Amino acid sequence: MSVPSCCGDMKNNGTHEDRLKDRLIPHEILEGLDANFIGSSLHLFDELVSTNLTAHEMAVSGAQEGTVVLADSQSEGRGRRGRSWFSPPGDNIYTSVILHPPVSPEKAPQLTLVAAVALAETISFFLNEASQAEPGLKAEIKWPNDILIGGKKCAGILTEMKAHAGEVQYVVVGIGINVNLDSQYMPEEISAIATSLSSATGRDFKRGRIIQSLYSNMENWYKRYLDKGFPFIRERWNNLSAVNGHYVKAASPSIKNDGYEEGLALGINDKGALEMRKKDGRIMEISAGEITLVSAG
Amino acid sequence: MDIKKLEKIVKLLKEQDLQEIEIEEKDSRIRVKREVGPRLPQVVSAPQPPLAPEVVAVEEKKADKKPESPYKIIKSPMVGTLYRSPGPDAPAYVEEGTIVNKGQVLCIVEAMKLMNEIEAEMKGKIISILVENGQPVEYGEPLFEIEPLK
Repeated sequence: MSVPSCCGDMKNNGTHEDRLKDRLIPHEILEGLDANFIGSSLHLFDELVSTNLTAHEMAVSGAQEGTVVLADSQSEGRGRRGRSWFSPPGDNIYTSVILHPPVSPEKAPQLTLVAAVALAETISFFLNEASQAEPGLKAEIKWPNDILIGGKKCAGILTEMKAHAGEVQYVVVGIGINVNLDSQYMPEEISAIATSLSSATGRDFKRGRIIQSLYSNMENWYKRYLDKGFPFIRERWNNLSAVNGHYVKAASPSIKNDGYEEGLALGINDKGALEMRKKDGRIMEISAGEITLVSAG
Repeated sequence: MDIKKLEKIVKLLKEQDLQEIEIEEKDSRIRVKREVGPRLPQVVSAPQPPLAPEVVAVEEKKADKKPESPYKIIKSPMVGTLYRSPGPDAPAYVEEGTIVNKGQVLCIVEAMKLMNEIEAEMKGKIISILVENGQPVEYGEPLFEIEPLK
Protein backbone atom coordinates (compact mmCIF):
# COMPACT_ATOMS: atom_id res chain seq x y z
CA MET A 1 0.00 0.00 0.00
CA SER A 2 1.49 3.31 -0.98
CA VAL A 3 1.79 6.27 1.31
CA PRO A 4 -1.35 8.38 1.24
CA SER A 5 -1.01 11.73 -0.31
CA CYS A 6 -3.16 14.43 1.10
CA CYS A 7 -3.71 17.37 -1.09
CA GLY A 8 -5.66 20.37 -0.02
CA ASP A 9 -6.42 21.63 3.42
CA MET A 10 -9.06 19.96 5.54
CA LYS A 11 -9.23 22.63 8.24
CA ASN A 12 -12.64 23.74 9.30
CA ASN A 13 -13.20 27.01 7.54
CA GLY A 14 -16.32 27.81 9.50
CA THR A 15 -18.73 27.37 6.64
CA HIS A 16 -20.23 24.29 8.22
CA GLU A 17 -20.26 23.75 11.97
CA ASP A 18 -20.52 19.97 11.70
CA ARG A 19 -17.39 19.58 9.64
CA LEU A 20 -15.11 18.79 12.56
CA LYS A 21 -17.52 16.06 13.68
CA ASP A 22 -16.88 13.86 10.67
CA ARG A 23 -13.63 14.91 9.11
CA LEU A 24 -12.17 12.75 6.39
CA ILE A 25 -8.61 11.80 7.29
CA PRO A 26 -6.60 9.84 4.70
CA HIS A 27 -4.62 7.63 7.09
CA GLU A 28 -7.78 6.68 8.97
CA ILE A 29 -9.43 5.63 5.73
CA LEU A 30 -6.36 3.69 4.62
CA GLU A 31 -5.84 1.94 7.95
CA GLY A 32 -9.19 0.21 7.80
CA LEU A 33 -9.22 -0.34 4.06
CA ASP A 34 -9.66 -3.92 2.95
CA ALA A 35 -8.64 -3.47 -0.69
CA ASN A 36 -5.41 -4.09 -2.56
CA PHE A 37 -5.50 -1.48 -5.27
CA ILE A 38 -8.66 0.62 -5.15
CA GLY A 39 -7.89 3.42 -2.72
CA SER A 40 -4.24 2.47 -2.20
CA SER A 41 -3.36 5.80 -3.75
CA LEU A 42 -5.80 8.21 -2.14
CA HIS A 43 -5.98 11.92 -2.91
CA LEU A 44 -8.19 13.87 -0.57
CA PHE A 45 -9.16 17.47 -1.21
CA ASP A 46 -11.08 20.02 0.78
CA GLU A 47 -12.93 21.25 -2.28
CA LEU A 48 -12.72 20.42 -5.95
CA VAL A 49 -14.58 21.63 -9.00
CA SER A 50 -15.46 17.97 -9.52
CA THR A 51 -13.68 14.77 -8.51
CA ASN A 52 -14.13 13.41 -12.04
CA LEU A 53 -12.33 16.39 -13.52
CA THR A 54 -9.34 15.96 -11.20
CA ALA A 55 -9.35 12.20 -11.80
CA HIS A 56 -9.15 12.83 -15.56
CA GLU A 57 -6.14 15.07 -15.07
CA MET A 58 -4.45 12.46 -12.89
CA ALA A 59 -5.24 9.65 -15.32
CA VAL A 60 -3.75 11.63 -18.20
CA SER A 61 -0.59 12.14 -16.12
CA GLY A 62 -0.34 8.39 -15.60
CA ALA A 63 -2.23 7.64 -12.37
CA GLN A 64 -2.21 3.92 -11.66
CA GLU A 65 -5.12 1.49 -11.50
CA GLY A 66 -7.33 2.09 -8.48
CA THR A 67 -6.16 5.64 -7.75
CA VAL A 68 -8.97 7.49 -6.01
CA VAL A 69 -9.88 11.14 -5.71
CA LEU A 70 -12.01 12.17 -2.77
CA ALA A 71 -13.40 15.61 -1.97
CA ASP A 72 -15.26 17.01 1.01
CA SER A 73 -17.20 19.26 -1.36
CA GLN A 74 -17.48 20.04 -5.06
CA SER A 75 -18.14 23.47 -6.52
CA GLU A 76 -19.47 22.02 -9.77
CA GLY A 77 -20.39 18.41 -9.04
CA ARG A 78 -21.65 16.87 -12.24
CA GLY A 79 -24.39 14.49 -13.25
CA ARG A 80 -25.42 13.10 -16.59
CA ARG A 81 -25.63 15.44 -19.60
CA GLY A 82 -24.51 18.64 -17.93
CA ARG A 83 -26.70 18.30 -14.84
CA SER A 84 -25.30 19.32 -11.50
CA TRP A 85 -24.84 17.15 -8.41
CA PHE A 86 -25.55 18.99 -5.14
CA SER A 87 -22.22 18.76 -3.30
CA PRO A 88 -22.12 20.68 0.01
CA PRO A 89 -19.24 20.09 2.49
CA GLY A 90 -19.17 17.94 5.60
CA ASP A 91 -22.00 15.52 4.96
CA ASN A 92 -21.63 13.51 1.80
CA ILE A 93 -19.19 11.44 -0.22
CA TYR A 94 -17.82 12.55 -3.59
CA THR A 95 -15.22 10.26 -5.04
CA SER A 96 -13.81 9.13 -8.37
CA VAL A 97 -11.96 5.91 -9.08
CA ILE A 98 -9.47 5.60 -11.95
CA LEU A 99 -9.47 2.21 -13.70
CA HIS A 100 -7.52 0.79 -16.62
CA PRO A 101 -9.79 -2.14 -17.46
CA PRO A 102 -8.41 -4.73 -19.89
CA VAL A 103 -11.63 -4.72 -21.91
CA SER A 104 -12.57 -3.25 -25.27
CA PRO A 105 -14.24 0.19 -25.34
CA GLU A 106 -17.36 -1.59 -26.54
CA LYS A 107 -17.63 -3.51 -23.28
CA ALA A 108 -16.56 -0.69 -20.98
CA PRO A 109 -20.16 0.53 -20.35
CA GLN A 110 -20.67 -2.68 -18.36
CA LEU A 111 -18.40 -1.14 -15.73
CA THR A 112 -21.16 1.29 -14.79
CA LEU A 113 -23.31 -1.69 -13.82
CA VAL A 114 -20.42 -3.27 -11.92
CA ALA A 115 -20.06 -0.03 -9.96
CA ALA A 116 -23.83 0.07 -9.36
CA VAL A 117 -23.77 -3.39 -7.77
CA ALA A 118 -20.85 -2.42 -5.52
CA LEU A 119 -22.50 0.84 -4.51
CA ALA A 120 -25.90 -0.75 -3.83
CA GLU A 121 -24.27 -3.41 -1.63
CA THR A 122 -22.35 -0.75 0.28
CA ILE A 123 -25.47 1.27 0.98
CA SER A 124 -27.48 -1.84 1.84
CA PHE A 125 -24.89 -2.84 4.43
CA PHE A 126 -25.15 0.49 6.26
CA LEU A 127 -28.93 0.54 5.98
CA ASN A 128 -29.10 -2.91 7.57
CA GLU A 129 -26.70 -1.90 10.29
CA ALA A 130 -28.71 1.20 11.12
CA SER A 131 -32.23 0.16 10.50
CA GLN A 132 -33.06 -2.41 13.14
CA ALA A 133 -35.79 0.02 14.10
CA GLU A 134 -37.00 0.16 10.52
CA PRO A 135 -36.41 -3.20 8.89
CA GLY A 136 -37.17 -3.57 5.23
CA LEU A 137 -35.18 -0.58 4.08
CA LYS A 138 -33.03 -1.57 1.15
CA ALA A 139 -30.92 -0.05 -1.57
CA GLU A 140 -32.10 -0.76 -5.10
CA ILE A 141 -30.66 0.09 -8.51
CA LYS A 142 -32.59 2.11 -11.04
CA TRP A 143 -31.16 1.35 -14.45
CA PRO A 144 -28.41 1.81 -15.18
CA ASN A 145 -26.82 2.91 -11.92
CA ASP A 146 -28.81 5.22 -9.66
CA ILE A 147 -29.19 3.93 -6.12
CA LEU A 148 -32.62 4.38 -4.56
CA ILE A 149 -33.88 3.97 -1.02
CA GLY A 150 -37.67 3.81 -0.88
CA GLY A 151 -37.87 5.08 -4.46
CA LYS A 152 -35.72 8.16 -3.77
CA LYS A 153 -32.23 8.69 -5.08
CA CYS A 154 -29.49 8.36 -2.50
CA ALA A 155 -26.45 7.92 -4.73
CA GLY A 156 -25.45 8.28 -8.35
CA ILE A 157 -22.63 7.31 -10.66
CA LEU A 158 -21.16 9.17 -13.63
CA THR A 159 -18.63 7.16 -15.60
CA GLU A 160 -16.40 8.69 -18.23
CA MET A 161 -14.03 6.92 -20.57
CA LYS A 162 -11.13 7.89 -22.76
CA ALA A 163 -10.47 5.48 -25.58
CA HIS A 164 -8.04 5.66 -28.44
CA ALA A 165 -7.53 3.46 -31.47
CA GLY A 166 -9.84 0.74 -30.21
CA GLU A 167 -8.36 0.63 -26.73
CA VAL A 168 -9.54 1.96 -23.40
CA GLN A 169 -7.00 4.45 -22.08
CA TYR A 170 -8.75 4.81 -18.76
CA VAL A 171 -12.16 4.96 -17.12
CA VAL A 172 -13.17 7.35 -14.35
CA VAL A 173 -16.04 6.15 -12.16
CA GLY A 174 -17.46 9.13 -10.28
CA ILE A 175 -19.69 8.39 -7.31
CA GLY A 176 -21.80 10.71 -5.17
CA ILE A 177 -23.51 9.45 -2.02
CA ASN A 178 -25.86 11.50 0.13
CA VAL A 179 -24.84 10.41 3.62
CA ASN A 180 -25.64 12.78 6.49
CA LEU A 181 -27.30 15.51 4.47
CA ASP A 182 -30.77 16.19 5.81
CA SER A 183 -33.18 16.17 2.89
CA GLN A 184 -34.75 19.39 4.19
CA TYR A 185 -31.49 21.17 3.27
CA MET A 186 -31.55 19.89 -0.29
CA PRO A 187 -32.45 22.28 -3.09
CA GLU A 188 -36.17 22.34 -3.83
CA GLU A 189 -35.81 20.70 -7.25
CA ILE A 190 -34.31 17.54 -5.78
CA SER A 191 -35.75 17.33 -2.24
CA ALA A 192 -38.85 15.48 -3.43
CA ILE A 193 -36.89 12.87 -5.37
CA ALA A 194 -33.68 12.56 -3.34
CA THR A 195 -32.82 11.16 0.05
CA SER A 196 -29.76 10.39 2.15
CA LEU A 197 -28.72 7.54 4.41
CA SER A 198 -29.44 9.66 7.48
CA SER A 199 -32.82 10.89 6.19
CA ALA A 200 -33.81 7.28 5.50
CA THR A 201 -32.68 5.88 8.85
CA GLY A 202 -32.78 8.82 11.26
CA ARG A 203 -29.15 8.48 12.31
CA ASP A 204 -25.75 9.78 11.24
CA PHE A 205 -22.92 7.79 9.70
CA LYS A 206 -19.13 7.98 9.71
CA ARG A 207 -18.26 8.75 6.11
CA GLY A 208 -14.85 7.12 6.38
CA ARG A 209 -16.37 3.69 7.05
CA ILE A 210 -18.68 3.99 4.06
CA ILE A 211 -15.75 5.03 1.86
CA GLN A 212 -13.73 2.00 3.02
CA SER A 213 -16.62 -0.33 2.32
CA LEU A 214 -17.24 1.25 -1.09
CA TYR A 215 -13.61 0.86 -2.25
CA SER A 216 -13.49 -2.71 -1.01
CA ASN A 217 -16.80 -3.65 -2.70
CA MET A 218 -15.74 -1.89 -5.90
CA GLU A 219 -12.53 -3.88 -6.00
CA ASN A 220 -14.28 -7.18 -5.32
CA TRP A 221 -16.93 -6.69 -7.97
CA TYR A 222 -14.43 -5.33 -10.50
CA LYS A 223 -12.23 -8.40 -9.99
CA ARG A 224 -15.23 -10.71 -10.32
CA TYR A 225 -16.21 -8.96 -13.53
CA LEU A 226 -12.73 -9.39 -14.99
CA ASP A 227 -12.40 -13.00 -13.77
CA LYS A 228 -15.89 -14.36 -14.36
CA GLY A 229 -17.40 -12.09 -16.96
CA PHE A 230 -20.50 -9.98 -17.16
CA PRO A 231 -23.18 -12.67 -16.63
CA PHE A 232 -22.07 -12.89 -13.00
CA ILE A 233 -22.66 -9.15 -12.58
CA ARG A 234 -25.88 -9.28 -14.52
CA GLU A 235 -27.43 -11.78 -12.15
CA ARG A 236 -26.60 -9.71 -9.08
CA TRP A 237 -27.69 -6.49 -10.78
CA ASN A 238 -31.07 -8.00 -11.64
CA ASN A 239 -31.51 -9.10 -8.01
CA LEU A 240 -30.88 -5.55 -6.83
CA SER A 241 -33.00 -3.88 -9.51
CA ALA A 242 -35.68 -1.37 -8.60
CA VAL A 243 -37.21 -1.54 -12.07
CA ASN A 244 -37.54 -5.22 -13.02
CA GLY A 245 -41.22 -6.16 -13.16
CA HIS A 246 -42.33 -2.54 -13.11
CA TYR A 247 -43.69 -0.30 -15.82
CA VAL A 248 -41.14 2.25 -16.85
CA LYS A 249 -40.80 5.14 -19.22
CA ALA A 250 -37.57 5.29 -21.16
CA ALA A 251 -36.47 8.69 -22.41
CA SER A 252 -33.70 9.05 -24.94
CA PRO A 253 -33.34 11.20 -28.03
CA SER A 254 -32.50 7.99 -29.86
CA ILE A 255 -36.06 6.69 -29.36
CA LYS A 256 -38.10 7.50 -32.44
CA ASN A 257 -41.47 7.88 -30.75
CA ASP A 258 -40.96 11.52 -29.61
CA GLY A 259 -38.04 10.33 -27.53
CA TYR A 260 -40.24 8.28 -25.17
CA GLU A 261 -41.32 4.69 -24.90
CA GLU A 262 -43.18 2.85 -22.14
CA GLY A 263 -43.18 -0.78 -21.19
CA LEU A 264 -42.56 -3.46 -18.62
CA ALA A 265 -38.92 -3.61 -17.51
CA LEU A 266 -37.65 -7.18 -17.75
CA GLY A 267 -34.04 -6.76 -16.63
CA ILE A 268 -30.64 -6.24 -18.16
CA ASN A 269 -29.27 -8.46 -20.91
CA ASP A 270 -25.74 -9.66 -21.60
CA LYS A 271 -24.70 -6.29 -22.91
CA GLY A 272 -26.07 -4.45 -19.88
CA ALA A 273 -28.92 -2.87 -21.82
CA LEU A 274 -32.34 -2.85 -20.17
CA GLU A 275 -34.93 -5.01 -21.92
CA MET A 276 -38.45 -3.67 -21.88
CA ARG A 277 -41.64 -5.30 -23.20
CA LYS A 278 -43.78 -2.73 -24.98
CA LYS A 279 -47.58 -2.85 -25.05
CA ASP A 280 -47.48 -4.41 -28.51
CA GLY A 281 -45.50 -7.29 -27.00
CA ARG A 282 -42.27 -6.42 -28.71
CA ILE A 283 -39.04 -6.36 -26.70
CA MET A 284 -37.05 -3.17 -26.85
CA GLU A 285 -33.46 -2.73 -25.72
CA ILE A 286 -32.53 0.49 -23.92
CA SER A 287 -28.83 1.30 -23.86
CA ALA A 288 -28.81 5.06 -23.35
CA GLY A 289 -30.95 7.74 -21.80
CA GLU A 290 -33.01 7.59 -18.63
CA ILE A 291 -35.68 5.43 -17.04
CA THR A 292 -38.51 6.56 -14.79
CA LEU A 293 -40.92 4.31 -12.97
CA VAL A 294 -44.57 4.81 -13.91
CA SER A 295 -47.72 3.43 -12.32
CA ALA A 296 -48.96 0.20 -13.91
CA GLY A 297 -50.68 0.86 -17.19
CA MET B 1 3.19 -16.12 -39.73
CA ASP B 2 3.51 -19.86 -39.27
CA ILE B 3 0.83 -21.80 -37.48
CA LYS B 4 3.17 -23.31 -34.88
CA LYS B 5 4.13 -19.85 -33.74
CA LEU B 6 0.47 -18.92 -33.49
CA GLU B 7 -0.26 -22.02 -31.44
CA LYS B 8 2.55 -21.11 -29.06
CA ILE B 9 1.11 -17.66 -28.59
CA VAL B 10 -2.37 -19.02 -27.91
CA LYS B 11 -0.90 -21.45 -25.38
CA LEU B 12 1.00 -18.68 -23.67
CA LEU B 13 -2.17 -16.58 -23.53
CA LYS B 14 -4.07 -19.37 -21.80
CA GLU B 15 -1.27 -20.40 -19.46
CA GLN B 16 -0.58 -16.88 -18.30
CA ASP B 17 -4.30 -16.09 -18.18
CA LEU B 18 -3.76 -13.03 -20.32
CA GLN B 19 -6.42 -11.15 -22.22
CA GLU B 20 -4.40 -10.16 -25.19
CA ILE B 21 -0.95 -10.50 -26.76
CA GLU B 22 0.36 -8.31 -29.51
CA ILE B 23 3.60 -9.02 -31.30
CA GLU B 24 5.06 -6.74 -33.89
CA GLU B 25 7.76 -7.80 -36.30
CA LYS B 26 9.42 -6.32 -39.30
CA ASP B 27 6.66 -6.88 -41.79
CA SER B 28 3.69 -8.00 -39.78
CA ARG B 29 1.77 -7.56 -36.61
CA ILE B 30 -0.20 -10.24 -34.81
CA ARG B 31 -2.71 -9.76 -32.08
CA VAL B 32 -4.30 -12.66 -30.20
CA LYS B 33 -7.19 -11.77 -28.00
CA ARG B 34 -9.33 -13.73 -25.57
CA GLU B 35 -12.84 -12.63 -24.76
CA VAL B 36 -13.98 -13.04 -21.19
CA GLY B 37 -17.42 -14.58 -20.78
CA PRO B 38 -19.81 -16.04 -23.31
CA ARG B 39 -21.38 -14.09 -26.09
CA LEU B 40 -24.64 -15.97 -26.36
CA PRO B 41 -27.64 -14.58 -24.57
CA GLN B 42 -28.73 -16.64 -21.59
CA VAL B 43 -31.47 -16.76 -19.00
CA VAL B 44 -31.21 -14.65 -15.89
CA SER B 45 -31.03 -17.59 -13.50
CA ALA B 46 -28.64 -19.66 -15.55
CA PRO B 47 -25.61 -20.94 -13.65
CA GLN B 48 -22.32 -19.25 -14.33
CA PRO B 49 -20.73 -20.97 -17.33
CA PRO B 50 -17.00 -21.57 -17.28
CA LEU B 51 -14.76 -19.03 -18.89
CA ALA B 52 -15.12 -19.61 -22.58
CA PRO B 53 -11.83 -18.72 -24.16
CA GLU B 54 -12.46 -17.41 -27.57
CA VAL B 55 -9.35 -16.89 -29.56
CA VAL B 56 -9.31 -14.40 -32.32
CA ALA B 57 -6.18 -14.00 -34.35
CA VAL B 58 -5.71 -10.97 -36.47
CA GLU B 59 -2.81 -10.58 -38.79
CA GLU B 60 -2.31 -7.32 -40.53
CA LYS B 61 0.09 -6.46 -43.27
CA LYS B 62 1.66 -3.15 -42.62
CA ALA B 63 2.65 -2.43 -46.18
CA ASP B 64 0.42 -1.68 -49.14
CA LYS B 65 -1.88 0.69 -47.30
CA LYS B 66 -2.92 3.39 -49.68
CA PRO B 67 -5.21 6.18 -48.58
CA GLU B 68 -8.46 6.02 -50.50
CA SER B 69 -9.57 9.51 -49.62
CA PRO B 70 -7.72 12.61 -48.44
CA TYR B 71 -10.12 12.72 -45.50
CA LYS B 72 -9.87 10.73 -42.30
CA ILE B 73 -12.95 9.12 -40.82
CA ILE B 74 -13.56 9.21 -37.07
CA LYS B 75 -15.53 6.11 -36.07
CA SER B 76 -17.57 5.25 -33.01
CA PRO B 77 -15.68 2.96 -30.58
CA MET B 78 -18.91 1.54 -29.18
CA VAL B 79 -22.66 1.15 -29.51
CA GLY B 80 -24.55 4.03 -27.94
CA THR B 81 -26.23 7.37 -28.42
CA LEU B 82 -24.33 10.28 -29.89
CA TYR B 83 -24.49 13.75 -28.39
CA ARG B 84 -22.98 16.70 -30.18
CA SER B 85 -22.90 18.94 -27.09
CA PRO B 86 -21.97 18.54 -23.39
CA GLY B 87 -25.58 19.21 -22.30
CA PRO B 88 -29.02 19.69 -23.86
CA ASP B 89 -28.76 23.49 -23.80
CA ALA B 90 -25.07 23.76 -24.55
CA PRO B 91 -23.67 24.62 -27.98
CA ALA B 92 -22.30 21.83 -30.16
CA TYR B 93 -18.66 20.88 -29.70
CA VAL B 94 -17.97 21.29 -33.42
CA GLU B 95 -19.73 22.24 -36.64
CA GLU B 96 -18.84 21.52 -40.23
CA GLY B 97 -15.92 23.74 -41.11
CA THR B 98 -14.58 23.92 -37.53
CA ILE B 99 -10.79 23.61 -37.29
CA VAL B 100 -9.97 21.23 -34.47
CA ASN B 101 -6.73 20.44 -32.68
CA LYS B 102 -5.51 16.99 -31.80
CA GLY B 103 -7.29 15.83 -28.64
CA GLN B 104 -10.19 18.27 -29.00
CA VAL B 105 -13.58 16.78 -28.09
CA LEU B 106 -15.86 16.27 -31.11
CA CYS B 107 -18.86 14.56 -29.50
CA ILE B 108 -19.95 12.17 -26.75
CA VAL B 109 -21.15 8.62 -27.21
CA GLU B 110 -23.18 7.34 -24.24
CA ALA B 111 -24.09 3.80 -23.31
CA MET B 112 -25.35 2.68 -19.89
CA LYS B 113 -24.50 6.15 -18.58
CA LEU B 114 -20.86 5.79 -19.53
CA MET B 115 -19.83 8.93 -21.35
CA ASN B 116 -17.15 8.53 -23.96
CA GLU B 117 -15.73 11.77 -25.28
CA ILE B 118 -14.61 11.23 -28.84
CA GLU B 119 -11.51 13.27 -29.61
CA ALA B 120 -9.87 14.41 -32.80
CA GLU B 121 -6.91 12.18 -33.56
CA MET B 122 -5.13 14.96 -35.42
CA LYS B 123 -5.38 18.63 -36.21
CA GLY B 124 -7.87 19.09 -39.01
CA LYS B 125 -10.97 20.62 -40.47
CA ILE B 126 -14.37 19.02 -39.99
CA ILE B 127 -15.59 18.31 -43.51
CA SER B 128 -18.81 16.57 -42.65
CA ILE B 129 -20.76 15.43 -39.61
CA LEU B 130 -22.32 12.09 -40.43
CA VAL B 131 -24.57 11.55 -37.40
CA GLU B 132 -27.30 13.76 -35.94
CA ASN B 133 -27.51 14.71 -32.27
CA GLY B 134 -29.28 12.03 -30.22
CA GLN B 135 -28.97 9.39 -32.91
CA PRO B 136 -28.04 5.80 -32.02
CA VAL B 137 -24.65 4.73 -33.36
CA GLU B 138 -23.17 1.32 -33.97
CA TYR B 139 -19.66 0.08 -33.26
CA GLY B 140 -17.35 1.34 -36.00
CA GLU B 141 -19.94 3.66 -37.49
CA PRO B 142 -18.37 6.70 -39.22
CA LEU B 143 -19.11 9.88 -37.25
CA PHE B 144 -16.97 12.63 -38.78
CA GLU B 145 -14.95 13.24 -41.91
CA ILE B 146 -11.84 15.28 -41.18
CA GLU B 147 -9.33 16.87 -43.50
CA PRO B 148 -5.94 16.56 -41.76
CA LEU B 149 -4.05 19.85 -41.46
CA LYS B 150 -0.46 20.52 -40.46
